[in-house]
Amino acid sequence: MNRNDPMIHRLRFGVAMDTVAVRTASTKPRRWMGMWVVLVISVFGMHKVLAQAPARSRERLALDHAKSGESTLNAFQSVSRATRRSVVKIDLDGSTVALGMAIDDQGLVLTKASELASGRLTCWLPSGKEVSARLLTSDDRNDVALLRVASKELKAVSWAAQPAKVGQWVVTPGVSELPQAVGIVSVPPRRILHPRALMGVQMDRKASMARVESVLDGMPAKEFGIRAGDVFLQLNGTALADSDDLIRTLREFREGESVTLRVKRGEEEFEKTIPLKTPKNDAGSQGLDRSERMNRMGSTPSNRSEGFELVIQHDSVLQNWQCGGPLVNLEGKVVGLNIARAGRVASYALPSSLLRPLLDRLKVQAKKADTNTTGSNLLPTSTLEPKRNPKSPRTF
Amino acid sequence: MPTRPPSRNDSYCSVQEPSADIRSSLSSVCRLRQDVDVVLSRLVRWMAIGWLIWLAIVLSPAVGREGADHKFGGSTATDNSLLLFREIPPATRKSVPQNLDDLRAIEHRIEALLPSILNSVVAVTIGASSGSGVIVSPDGYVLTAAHVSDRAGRDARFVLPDGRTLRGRTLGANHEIDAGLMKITEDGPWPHVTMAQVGDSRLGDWVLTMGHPGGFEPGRAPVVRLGRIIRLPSPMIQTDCTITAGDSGGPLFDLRGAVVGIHSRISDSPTANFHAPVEAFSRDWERLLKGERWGEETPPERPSIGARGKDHPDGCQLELVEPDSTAAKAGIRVGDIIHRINGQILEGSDSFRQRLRECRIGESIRIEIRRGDQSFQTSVVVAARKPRP
Repeated sequence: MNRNDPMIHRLRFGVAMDTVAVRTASTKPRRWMGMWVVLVISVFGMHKVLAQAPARSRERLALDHAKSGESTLNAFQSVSRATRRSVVKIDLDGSTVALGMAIDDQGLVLTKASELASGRLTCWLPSGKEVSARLLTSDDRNDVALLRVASKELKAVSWAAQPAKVGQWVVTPGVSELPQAVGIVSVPPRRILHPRALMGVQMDRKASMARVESVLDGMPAKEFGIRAGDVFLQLNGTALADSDDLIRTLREFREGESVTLRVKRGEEEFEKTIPLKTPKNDAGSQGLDRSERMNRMGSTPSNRSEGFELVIQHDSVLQNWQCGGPLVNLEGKVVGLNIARAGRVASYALPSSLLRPLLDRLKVQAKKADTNTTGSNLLPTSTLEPKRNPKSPRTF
Repeated sequence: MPTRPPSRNDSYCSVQEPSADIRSSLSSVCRLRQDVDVVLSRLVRWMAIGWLIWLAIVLSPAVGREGADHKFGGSTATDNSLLLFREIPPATRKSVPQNLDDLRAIEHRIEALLPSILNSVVAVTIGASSGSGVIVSPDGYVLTAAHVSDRAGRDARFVLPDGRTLRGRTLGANHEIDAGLMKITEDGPWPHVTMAQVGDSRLGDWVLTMGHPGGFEPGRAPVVRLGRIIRLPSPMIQTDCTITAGDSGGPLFDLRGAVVGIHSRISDSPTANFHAPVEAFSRDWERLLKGERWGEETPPERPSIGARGKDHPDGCQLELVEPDSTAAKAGIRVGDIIHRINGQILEGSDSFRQRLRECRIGESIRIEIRRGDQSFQTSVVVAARKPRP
């Protein structure tokens, strides 16, 4: 290769050229100065060029670089790898309905209760095995169920010492290497009320007492003989000041629960016990109001997405079946259990402050259920070889 | 003299690649050895110095930042000196985060920003519509979406994150880009943030969304969400910060804490969230201040049965039934009182409009009419009505 002499010159020339005719003669001090300017400017230039490169290269951010994109999820891999051995994917009759969180090394798993129905429960382990599972007990108040999974290869999760703060990253690990979803905490812990349960009356808001203005068709109040003009004096033994008082009090009840009202009709006074009902929107998504339609854009809320004592709201884009598993921080420590997809902008997780005492109660309840079953029920249904579950949904 | 015109590429290559070439030439050509040696050592020395200078330049904002944290003082909205942080941390500007350190850099910055920027986010109620907004000056100018404020001179109510409720007025609105201005009319100073300037944002920048999705909920602070800029203004900014109804008018912040956009609209995908660029406000600030309203607004078709009425003790008494409307076809006339829709009793004309808004176009609704001492039911199909200009 004969590019020694010319090369060096070209190099000098080339470099000098770029500083816009700095180079003139080749006297030593000048060359040194030239070198100075050249280097400073060219490194500067490079800095600028490099800085501008990403903005210039394309108009639209590649979606795998977006927050939930695969390349971004890769950065979380060390977190999800460290925690995946504490996660199971739960199938009901062969289709995935939820994730679960291992709370000991013996196969006790916590999940979202309302996603389980009667049917054959199996769990996919991080190792790729599918094993049988059995429901031990559940807590309806916060929609949590405790399962016994027929495997000893799960590892108990480790709990975070500090609760998650707004703005912190939260990761939803799955059984695979990449996390299922990532996001940040959006709102400090708060209570989520149940959907409004009604008896089916319109109240006279102008009256100074809780007076019924009209009774709605097809709702319990009518069925139980409440009439327009009736005045409600007490609810479950507590005096009612006015209609607002009644409405506020009713907000604490949920569908299926009953309230006992003391009713005044003319001179007559009597008591009525009325079950409450949530009016169903059976028109499908078309029948929803605009706000609810927008809330469902790009996401379907869980069947049960309301009625929790305390939740952390985060912005991870979870699919329905990705609830029930752990929510961890960047250290891989559990800050909560994903309990519901609540709409386009929100996922809910029960915070560990609520989970841990709840878990202790469930374990006590489960003890009886657990001790009287051993043997056949606990055998894995398929320990053949790791296989892909054809029905399991794919995350995007 | 050079035979080619200088090009940018040269400076790029000449610094990065030659040393290896020079080294390889050293062994083969002894004649040149001394010259080359001297040049090489100088080159290496100067390169080292050059890189040190470069490093110093790159790192200086990061180092200087610690001392340069500013509390918000009172001043104009677009003054960069008011920014909580002058720079976006370089670790957060990688094309994609590589590891936990990069993720922590994002997290740390968010945690540092939140306490001060969150206080500037307000819930907005104007008439029957509600949305979000952000305060950008100590005397209380509030940015929102044009489809929230609509036009100048309307009464607005703001709720601060600490629960205080404030009165205000709407100012101008640019419906073309969906930018609306409002002002708190009570005496400040109010917690506020800075508006970013043209060119501050880059593709892929991490951004924070705040607002009141689903409407204001007492006891719930503004809801914080994170995402990246997927498309720079064209003319809207697109991000994957998920927003929904109620967020309209809320702010999109960069990681310096400056407002870069105002929430406007969404489409199906969680990565399709659109925000009016904040330049739309700074560019037309004077027009907005004057209360001008411009731009074509193309709201979706509204459900309608082609009838309008006034309050009546029994519901809504119709004053207008358009010929050829679905109401007219169902035999409804002027003077009729609509008492119930789908079994629900109406309380005046407002609740009539409200019920209709909740209907879907093409749906058939059950209407109970009172006409004189008669009372009867009829079914009316809800039609689409073109929005009024």
